[in-house]
Amino acid sequence: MALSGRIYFAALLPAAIMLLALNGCGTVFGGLSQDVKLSSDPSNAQVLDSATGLKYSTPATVSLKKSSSHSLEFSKEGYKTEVVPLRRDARFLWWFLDAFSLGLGNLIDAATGGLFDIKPDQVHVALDPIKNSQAQ
Amino acid sequence: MNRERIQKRLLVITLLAMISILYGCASAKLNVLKPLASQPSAASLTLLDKTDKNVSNEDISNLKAALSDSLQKSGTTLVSTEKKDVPTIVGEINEYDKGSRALRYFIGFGAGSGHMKSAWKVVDPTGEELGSCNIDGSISAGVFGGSFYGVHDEVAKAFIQFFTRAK
Repeated sequence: MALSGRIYFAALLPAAIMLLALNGCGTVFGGLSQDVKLSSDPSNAQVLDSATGLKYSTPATVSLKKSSSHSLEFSKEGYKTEVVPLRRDARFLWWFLDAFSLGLGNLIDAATGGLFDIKPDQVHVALDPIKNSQAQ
Repeated sequence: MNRERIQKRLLVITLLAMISILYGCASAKLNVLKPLASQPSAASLTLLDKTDKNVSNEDISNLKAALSDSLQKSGTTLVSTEKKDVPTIVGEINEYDKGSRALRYFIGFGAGSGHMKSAWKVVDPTGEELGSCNIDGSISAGVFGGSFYGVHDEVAKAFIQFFTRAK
């Protein structure tokens, strides 16, 4: 009985160490930034990222930090400005694995942004002329 | 022996809880009224808020972004409404209640659930209706209570089902 208990412990200990090692695994494996494709119709629209203040011109692929919430403002002269809020969805796998560290990993991944995925990963906006402002 | 029973019961409870969470996740029900004859390669999008309480601009933008993303991935390019030679997707939001994420998370069992009802039609440049459908979305649970924007994604997926199952 004592022997089987030791074997059980010997099998459990490495598993526990491995799970604790997964602390902040979202940061390590998920990365701190994510590429997002931006496009518009018509093209050559100016895109302002409210989180960073950076400006882009469509079409473009930009690398956005997952630690902050981004909202993209598409504008072009003669067209209605469109604001697209990007979401940060927690990835269940990272959240679940982090939970084995009694929340420490969740805090690390949430702070670095590694816990999240930015959605959508491609943003295409059809800009409407200012005359068509009745419909959204 | 008792320990095994307790373990089994805990496993069953955990599985039931997981199933209930998955069952309550964001979902959307598609009801096709008039199927499309063919999937257009380009279309413009007009979203109309027909609810008595105004849907926020942020929510409208998010739904548009979800639709745009799904349309692009299905092979249809979303173009500006100034282009009059392409079909127009007209979406009407008839009911919109985001519910309460906090209630979904802390209480669950249907508390704080949200739903939306929408009607969609595709019209050609002459104004003739090419196809139409109704999509109802809802959420009653999810990770951390589940974001209502998950319903937008499901509504967009349901619309693409209608849009790409052209016969």
